[in-house]
Amino acid sequence: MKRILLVDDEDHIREVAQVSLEAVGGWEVVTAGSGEEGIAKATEADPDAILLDVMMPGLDGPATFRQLQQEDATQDIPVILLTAKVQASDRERFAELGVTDVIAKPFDPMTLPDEVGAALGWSAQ
Amino acid sequence: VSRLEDAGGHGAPMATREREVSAAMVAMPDIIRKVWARRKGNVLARVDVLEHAAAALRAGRLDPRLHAEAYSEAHKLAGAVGTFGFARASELALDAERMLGREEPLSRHEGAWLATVVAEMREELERSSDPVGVA
Repeated sequence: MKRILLVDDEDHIREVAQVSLEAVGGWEVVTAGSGEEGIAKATEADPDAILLDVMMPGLDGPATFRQLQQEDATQDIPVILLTAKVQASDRERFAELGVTDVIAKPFDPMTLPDEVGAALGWSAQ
Repeated sequence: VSRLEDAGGHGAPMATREREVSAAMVAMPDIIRKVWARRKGNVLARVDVLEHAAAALRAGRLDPRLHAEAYSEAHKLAGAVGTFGFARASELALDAERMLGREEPLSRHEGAWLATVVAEMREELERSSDPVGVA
């Protein structure tokens, strides 16, 4: 079973996304509430992919991504950014970072697994 | 491809997996409602910050700390409440985020606009125990 690490500082978003990805997507989900925790969990849990919120206090999404890229254990894990900022300029800026994809917030819990699956080339159902 | 073949690394035969997904889709709205009921207070606390910022802006004394906090809260609301079915509140939060993110100094008139936007946002979020579109 594929394992996803979900990093978001908002409890309610983590909770809904986790249920969606587990129940509808059929994947195992590990969660982290901050960029710092996300980096630690990425090493411990060895996820197949990471969903990473952009705007978080402390280490934000892009900074977390850059740290993940610097570690041998995590640099090859595909990362999808979650953000309410999805204007073309933002998307280009995030793409330049080297992330796999960007998924817009708010997301629909019913279709989030499809979006994640499409970005990663996984079957969501 | 056989329908009994595992797909996507789920570890379950397709037919079983399809049944699980169907059950999950049916259960999802109720799950979302329960999460909203538990977390609604936290979300409305973000609206409080926007109300304080609007009042301060109308009074001509929005300090940089509250301005930055309100911008962050508007961004979080824009990204969060739509997930619970509050599409209009999400749009309003995005409008507020854009206004608060502008580089030009904000006016008292914009404080009045922000207060109106935030009032409408709160009304939608408090109006229904069942999020729009999830009920």
